[in-house]
Amino acid sequence: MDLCDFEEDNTKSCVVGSEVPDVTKGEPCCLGIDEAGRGPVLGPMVYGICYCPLSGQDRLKDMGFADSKTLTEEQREKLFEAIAGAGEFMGWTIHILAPNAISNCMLRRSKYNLNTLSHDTAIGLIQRTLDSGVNLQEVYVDTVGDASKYQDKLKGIFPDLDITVTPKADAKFPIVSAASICAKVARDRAVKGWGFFEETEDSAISRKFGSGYPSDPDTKKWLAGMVDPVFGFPQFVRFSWSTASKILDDKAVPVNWDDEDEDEKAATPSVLSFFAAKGEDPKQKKHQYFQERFLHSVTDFGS
Amino acid sequence: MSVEVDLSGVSGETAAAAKLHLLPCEVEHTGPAQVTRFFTPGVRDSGQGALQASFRGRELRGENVALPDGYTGLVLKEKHKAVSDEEARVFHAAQKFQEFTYWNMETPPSKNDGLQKALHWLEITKAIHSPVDKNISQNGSHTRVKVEDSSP
Amino acid sequence: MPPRRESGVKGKGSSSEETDQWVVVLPDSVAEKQDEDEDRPTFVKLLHPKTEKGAMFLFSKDNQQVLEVLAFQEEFRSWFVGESVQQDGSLHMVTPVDPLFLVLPYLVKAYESGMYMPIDQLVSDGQYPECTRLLSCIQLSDLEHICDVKGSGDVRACRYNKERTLEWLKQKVEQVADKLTDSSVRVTGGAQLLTFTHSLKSEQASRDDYLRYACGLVSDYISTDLSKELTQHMGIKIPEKKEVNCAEPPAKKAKLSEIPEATEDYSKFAVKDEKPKNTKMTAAQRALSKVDKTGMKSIASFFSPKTAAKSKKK
Repeated sequence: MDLCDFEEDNTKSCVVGSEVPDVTKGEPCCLGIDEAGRGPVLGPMVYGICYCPLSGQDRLKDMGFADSKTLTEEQREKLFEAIAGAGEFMGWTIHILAPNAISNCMLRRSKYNLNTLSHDTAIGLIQRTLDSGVNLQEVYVDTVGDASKYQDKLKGIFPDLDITVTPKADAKFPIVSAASICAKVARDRAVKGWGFFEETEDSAISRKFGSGYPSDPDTKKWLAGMVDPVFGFPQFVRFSWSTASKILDDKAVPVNWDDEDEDEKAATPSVLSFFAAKGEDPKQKKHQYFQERFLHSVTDFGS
Repeated sequence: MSVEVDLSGVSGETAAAAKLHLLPCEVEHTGPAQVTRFFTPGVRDSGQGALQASFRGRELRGENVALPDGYTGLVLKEKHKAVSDEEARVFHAAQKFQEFTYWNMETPPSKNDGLQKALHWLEITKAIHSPVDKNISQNGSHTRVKVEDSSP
Repeated sequence: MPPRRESGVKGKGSSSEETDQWVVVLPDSVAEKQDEDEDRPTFVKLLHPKTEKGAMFLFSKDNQQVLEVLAFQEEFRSWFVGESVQQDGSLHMVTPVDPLFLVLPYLVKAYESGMYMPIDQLVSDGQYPECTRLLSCIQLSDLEHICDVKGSGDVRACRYNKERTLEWLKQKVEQVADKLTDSSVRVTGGAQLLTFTHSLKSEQASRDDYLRYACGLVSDYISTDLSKELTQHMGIKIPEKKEVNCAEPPAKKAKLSEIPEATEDYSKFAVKDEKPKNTKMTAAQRALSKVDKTGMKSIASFFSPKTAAKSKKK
C-alpha cells in the first residue's frame, strides 16, 4: 500500500488502489465496503473496498478473514500482505478522508454531516470500481445507523447491483472483512506516518496522542497540550468534533463567523433600521454607494 | 489632535514587504500569531489564482488582490501611546505591501464581494475630487468632460 | 446568506495591546519617503462639510494635498499581518479630496455678513485649527469656482458665490456620471484592473440615472442645504422615497437587498422580534447543532456527558 500521494499533501483527501485483476473484469464479482477511523478526533477516516470473483469466496475464507476488530495490528498487516499477494484475483481501493477535509465538510455553512460524507464516499468507490471495468454483481456494506435507508439509497443509485447493507458486515462477509483490513491498515499507517506541516525545528509535535478516540486520556492530554491560542490545533485534529471544539472554547481566543447565532443576527438589522428610520440625521448618513461597500468615514484613530 | 506619519521605516529597497491575509471571521485577539507555522503551509493554489486554506477547521477560499496602480499599502504602528493631549502622536510605517490575500468563507471571491466593490472607490473618488475643467463649464453644454486618470 | 449587520462597535476581545496598528492604502506620492528636514505627512481632524462634525484627513508632507480617510469595515473580518493577528479587519483608504469642498462651509458661513474678506481670515476655526493648512492646497484660480475674488497681488478678498458654486458642483456631478459610465465600459472591454469590475452600466440606466447617482455621491461632500439646491439647479428629479434616490442605477437594484434599508415598516421589526430568542449557545453546542446527528449512534457515544466533562478540566 503506497500512501505517498496522501503523505505528500495530507490536507486533502486521496484515493489509492491496486491494479484491477483481469479476472474481475470477466467473472461476476462481489465487493465489500467498510470504514476505519470514524470515531477518533484525530487523523483521517478511511474507506476501503475489496472485490473478487464470486467463485473466489471460498478462497477468501481460507485466507482467514474475520471480524477485523478482533485482530491485532500485526495480524491485520499480515492479512493485508495476503490481499496484496492475491492481486491476480482480488483488488482493493481506499479513499482517505483527510481530517481537514472532514472538518471543512462538517463545519460548512450548509450542513454536510459525517453520514452523508460516508455515503458519498462509498458511492464514489462503487462507481469508480464499475468505471474501471469490474463486473460487479453483489455489494456488501458495513454501516452504522439506519441500514435499510442506506440500502435503499444505494439501490436507487445502482439498481443493477445486488446490495446488502448491514451492521457488523465485516464479521459476516469475508469480502467486507478484507475491505475493513485495507481501511484499517491505511488508517494506522496514515496516523503513524503523519507529517505535521505545523512542525518546525523550534516546535516539535509530540506523537503521544494515543488512539485518537475522544475517550482516550492520552488523546485528551495531547489535545489540551497542543492548543495554539489563535489557530487552535494542527490539521491532524478534526475541529468539528465536540471534544476539540470544547477545548478551544476553553483555551483559545474566540473566533466569530457570520453564520453563527443566526437567529440573534437576523433580528439585529431590523432593530437598527427601526432606530435609523426614526432618528437618523440625514447629515450623518453616507450615500448608498458607501453603505454597500462597508465604507465609513474615519473620525478618529482611537484604540 | 494630529498624528504624524513616520515613513523612514519603509523607505528604500530594504522596506519589509508585509504578507497580509484578510480573514472572513473576527479573531478576538490582537497580537503575535504563528501564521507561517499554522496557516501558510496549508494554503493551496487550486489553479488560476484560486486559493484554498483552512482556519479553525473551516474552509476558506481566497485570491491575491493587487492594489490598483498608483497606490501603496502601509502597516502603520503606534509604538507608544501619547501620554498627554499635548504630545504629538506618531504612526510608524512598519511595512509596505502591494497586494494581500483576501479570503471568503467557502465561496470563491467574486467582484460582488464588499472588498472588491470597496476598492472601486479608489477610482471613482478621482472623478469627485479632481479639479473641474473651467473652460468646458463656460459653454454649459453637455459635452462629456474627460476625467484624467492621472495618478493621485 | 444571512443579512449582514452594519458594522459598529464590537466587543473588544483579549489584546496584548503592545502596539496599535492600522492597515492603510494611500497614493504612492504620499507614501514616498520624506527627506529628513521635510515635514511628515500628518493626520488631522477637520470639519467635514456634510456631517458638520470632525473627521480624519491627511495632509501630504508638503501640505500640497489633503486626503480623506475611509475605512472598509465589513463585519467578521480580521487581519493576519506577518506573524500577527489584528482583530480590526478594517482597510483604511486614504484618497485625495478637493480642498474646495473643505473650505466651502467657512465661505458660506461668512457670506451672511456679505463682506469680502481675505481668505486666511475666512478659513480659520478654533475647533479645527489645522484647517489653515488647506490654504496651501488651494490655487487662487480654483477659488474662483466658488467665490468672487476682489483685489490684486497679495491683497485679495473673497466672498462666496452660490451661482458659481452650483455651476462648479454641476461639473463635478457630470464628471462623476461620466466616470460611473466609463467604469463599466472598461469592464466590458476587458480591463487589466481586476479590482475594477463592478459594473454600473446597464441597458436601462439612463444619463439621468447616472447624474442622480453622481449627484448623491458629490452630495456627500457638501451641506444638505447645498445638496438640495444642486439637485434643483441640475433639474434632477428626486423620486418621492428617499431610499430610491440613494439607490444605484437600476441594473444594480437587486444588490440593495443585501443592505437592510431604513424604512418605516415596523411590521418587519415586529415579525423579526417575535422570533424565538435562542438562549446563547456555546461554540461547541453550535458546532454540534450544525451537524445532522441522525444515524450517528456510534459517534454520539463518544460525546457522552462524562467524556465532555472530563475534557473540560483546565
